[in-house]
Amino acid sequence: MKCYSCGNSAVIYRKYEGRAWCKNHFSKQLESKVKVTIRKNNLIEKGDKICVALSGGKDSCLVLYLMDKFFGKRPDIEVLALSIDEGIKGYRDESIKKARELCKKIGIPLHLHSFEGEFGKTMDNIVKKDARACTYCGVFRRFVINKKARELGATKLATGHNLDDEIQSVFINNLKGDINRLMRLGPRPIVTKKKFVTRIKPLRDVPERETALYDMINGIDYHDSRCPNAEDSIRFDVRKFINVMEEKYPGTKHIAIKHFDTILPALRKHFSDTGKVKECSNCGEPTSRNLCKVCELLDNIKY
Amino acid sequence: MQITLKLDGKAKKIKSKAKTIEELLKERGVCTESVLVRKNSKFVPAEDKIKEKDEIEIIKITSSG
Ligand code: SF4
Ligand SMILES: [Zn+2]
Ligand SMILES: [Zn+2]
Repeated sequence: MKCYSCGNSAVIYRKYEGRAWCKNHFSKQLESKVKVTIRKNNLIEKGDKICVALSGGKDSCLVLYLMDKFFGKRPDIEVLALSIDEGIKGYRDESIKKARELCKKIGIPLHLHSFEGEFGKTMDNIVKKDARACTYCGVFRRFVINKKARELGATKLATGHNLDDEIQSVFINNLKGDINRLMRLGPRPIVTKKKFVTRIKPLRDVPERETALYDMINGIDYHDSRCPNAEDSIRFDVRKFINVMEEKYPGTKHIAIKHFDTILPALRKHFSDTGKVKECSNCGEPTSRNLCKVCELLDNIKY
Repeated sequence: MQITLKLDGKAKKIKSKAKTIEELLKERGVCTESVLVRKNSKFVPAEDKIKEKDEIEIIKITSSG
């Protein structure tokens, strides 16, 4: 197949738009798509200090790479990276290696923090106490990322969520009937509440296989393996289902996310988010309860 | 037709009736949405044709967490 624009050999055919693209045109288009997402939703403003939550995986590496490419030379915008070492041997140590390499290559400072440093426990310790590894890991990671980003003075926290992640979350929250979580999705950041750093998702309109392809053809070396603690979750099944639908009915992902964005304002108007933000009575971090989830979970696994 | 199929880092020679990579993926029950493909070391659309002795590599995309 030939590139729709220049006739060189194509690296991808986008069924949802009916066109094939070469390496160069594919890369340029992905970049402009991300720029449009940023501009349309006002994700980044003058004076921002953008902290990229960098796991070393394909999506977060791409976010960092693009933030540097778009804003690295702007005197009024700062880009930095933040990695969290959960303490999962053979997995996170490897991905942090990739994170470090990328930061070095493009000259972005990397701030590294660990569960061990924050909580005195690694995920490898925690898994031995409680099999629900991901519950702890997810809650702890969000906590540390937000806290450290805030301490670094970040005004925006950029994550690697791509189109597939976002549409999966829409489905999952519908299947679970979780209106609060559902309403927190969307292209625009939720206005910063108290101690929360505003989260942005620059890759929200880019399909997952395109983030991987961009990395591979542009020499972004990312970490690619599955966490040993990963269980087959509802997300795993939803991902499979949506991919099968997309294959059979090209454009499904884009249509579904567009539809969600259309009804989101009405949802937010009709249902008010019942999760009020308070401060944890123990650690002072933002939470919707008296004692935050982190403090509650830490109590479960006291030695 | 005989081709070389590379999957999960392992290469093996296989026989296939598929005329395109997409058909090959279907034969093997792989969803095109969850993979990228290389033909003779170059990324190509899954719709590309296959010919005798081609080396097709299937790269599974893992979602990063
Ligand atoms: S799979 Fe679970 S344990 Fe592993 S990194 Fe993700 S949340 Fe943590
Ligand atoms: Zn081209
Ligand atoms: Zn707390």
